[in-house]
Amino acid sequence: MVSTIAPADQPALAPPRRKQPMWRSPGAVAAYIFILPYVIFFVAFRILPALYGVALSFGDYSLSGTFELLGLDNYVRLFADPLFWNALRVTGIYALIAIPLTVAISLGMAQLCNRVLRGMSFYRSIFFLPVVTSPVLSGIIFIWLFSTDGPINTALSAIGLPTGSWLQSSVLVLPALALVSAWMNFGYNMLILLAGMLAIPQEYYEAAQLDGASPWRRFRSVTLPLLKPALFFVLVLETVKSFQAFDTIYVMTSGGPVRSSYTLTYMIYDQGFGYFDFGYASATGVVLLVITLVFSLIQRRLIGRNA
Amino acid sequence: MKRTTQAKIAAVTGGAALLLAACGGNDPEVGVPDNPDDVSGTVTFWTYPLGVVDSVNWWQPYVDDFNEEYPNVDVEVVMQSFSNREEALVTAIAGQNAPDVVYFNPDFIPQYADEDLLLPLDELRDDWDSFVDSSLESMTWDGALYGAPLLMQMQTSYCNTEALEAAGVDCPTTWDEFREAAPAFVDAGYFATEYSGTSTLNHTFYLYLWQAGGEVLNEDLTAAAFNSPEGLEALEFIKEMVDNEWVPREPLSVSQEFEQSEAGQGNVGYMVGANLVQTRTLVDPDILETVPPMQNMEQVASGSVGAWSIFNTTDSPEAAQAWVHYLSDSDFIADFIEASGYLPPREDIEGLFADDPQLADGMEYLDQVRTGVMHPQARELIDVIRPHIQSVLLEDTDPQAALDAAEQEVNALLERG
Repeated sequence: MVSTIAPADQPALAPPRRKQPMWRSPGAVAAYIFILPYVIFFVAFRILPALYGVALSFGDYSLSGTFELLGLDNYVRLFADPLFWNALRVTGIYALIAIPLTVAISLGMAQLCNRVLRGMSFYRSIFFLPVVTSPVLSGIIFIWLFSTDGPINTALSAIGLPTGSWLQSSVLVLPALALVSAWMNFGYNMLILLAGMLAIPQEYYEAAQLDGASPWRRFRSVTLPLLKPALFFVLVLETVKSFQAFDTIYVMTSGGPVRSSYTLTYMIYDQGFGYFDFGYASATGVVLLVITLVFSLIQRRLIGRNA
Repeated sequence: MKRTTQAKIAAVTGGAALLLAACGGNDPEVGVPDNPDDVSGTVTFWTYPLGVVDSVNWWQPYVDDFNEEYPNVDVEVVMQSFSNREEALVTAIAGQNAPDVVYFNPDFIPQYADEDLLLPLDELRDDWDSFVDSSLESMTWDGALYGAPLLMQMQTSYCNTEALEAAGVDCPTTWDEFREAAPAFVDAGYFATEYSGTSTLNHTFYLYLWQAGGEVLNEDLTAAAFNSPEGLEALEFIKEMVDNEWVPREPLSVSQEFEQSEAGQGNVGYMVGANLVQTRTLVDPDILETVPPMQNMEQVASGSVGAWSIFNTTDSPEAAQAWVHYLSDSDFIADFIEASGYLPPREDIEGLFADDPQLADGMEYLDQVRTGVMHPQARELIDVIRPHIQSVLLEDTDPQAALDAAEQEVNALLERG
């Protein structure tokens, strides 16, 4: 039996205080109050509509407000619909081109901006401009840039490279749209990556330099590994954006030519707003959500484990 | 099938309710009580920029005028934007916040009427026979009128006189004349015409199909009818334009702003159909020669009708009907047409465009105007057929094979309903 009486020469120990749960600490309460408005908005405008969409996908909802339960009919129809498979293929190819292109450009620009140079903050602001430019406006400008006699073809021709019918070709249209996406998104990604780079202690670079590491080696062995958390965030962000690509495609090609830029989000838009087939549009949305989720988890496993 | 039955029952019920409401007043013929003081409520009125009629201020004097007769009706004018038009409407309806009165074009009527969302307007006026037949037909679905026409728009055929002079040809009015003139236009440094591969087929493939004597769907709207000798002739005619580079290539796959287009820059010899008012804002009106609509087997012009529809979700059906009645009176339409430059849907309005022969010419051909396919799935049909047309023009697919594939998809779509 264990005695609980303290030896006479030692002061009696006070009974151990029960540890207060973290969520009941005064700091936590204040934090909850601060995040409460965001949580309310997030639940009201993100979570609930998403759940509502999932519920809609199991039925036929008409604009006049009637709902007829269909079970899995919308999903059965979806997986037998060639339009869905084409949209899925287009979305996949677009993501495969757009994600690496955007991340590479963002990384390159962040590295370029990660230096002390007079007027650097001005350049950073300029690079951020496309992010705050309307996608519709960007689309209209790029239609002109990609036109047969437009500046891109003129420049290619001037340096002796072959020109392309960018938006008329089923093959070139997705790379062209991915380029527009990269132009529109690199500024935001660049800022995230730049913040990550600035957080890397200079001593690591100095040590590497003393060891004779070249700039490329320093980038590969110091910057990239320590940039993993920011890189992972950018990658997930770009994956979601690529799978949801819509506005510039809507403005520039209307999903063409010959449905070669008809993405899943475009299909959801058509089915919902165009044809009032909300159940079917919701089923497509749920499938897109699952695909995006799976890809994000794979990325987390491959890249973000230690992020 | 079940939904159709439900819709019919709802339509009959709605009609009966409307009739009862009409009988509640002193004049069951028009559905609005005789004594304007008995009509009250708020009417949320969604309109859009229509030519220069693009602000709430333009409407205010007419609301004031209406209020002199109906002092207890509050008309709330909401100027909507054409971009995101469908999203705004669908969102408002789904959110139980639909407008009471809305501006609609023909494509919208079967789709919204089929969803049992519109009030029939057959009893609204007793002078519907003063309206152009085609304007009423384009607002009719399943035997009921769902829109009170405000305007008609005809895609006008015209030539650029500078191009005619340079090419040494007369402005074509038939397919054969166009085939003769086209190479001369191109030799003179102009495009012969323009074809959009991305816009609605109502103004593009369907137009040539109708001119060839064909139809999009069969008479009872249950199957595709465009896969016919006429459909093939139309598609081959368009392909001939593309293959010979009579048309610019860009618009085949890209939606261009009008000012960026070759037509907007005055580089096109002949336009089979264009918005004349819009064209004249960019191209000198003095170099435009308007001509009758193009003809092959049939003489057809594409166009549209703008009309006022009333959602049956309205809390103030009598007030909404009184407002739409006012908006479809000849006095209001005459004022609107004069301000906006569109064509009138009423035949009893005279003296319009006395000093504008180009617009006045258009009035002669209103009976030749076709607005599209009156079917609830009209838009989906266009989205199904359009990629096949594009594949012929851009990827050299055989026209007959493209029509076969499109027919198969359209029939499957119609069968599914």
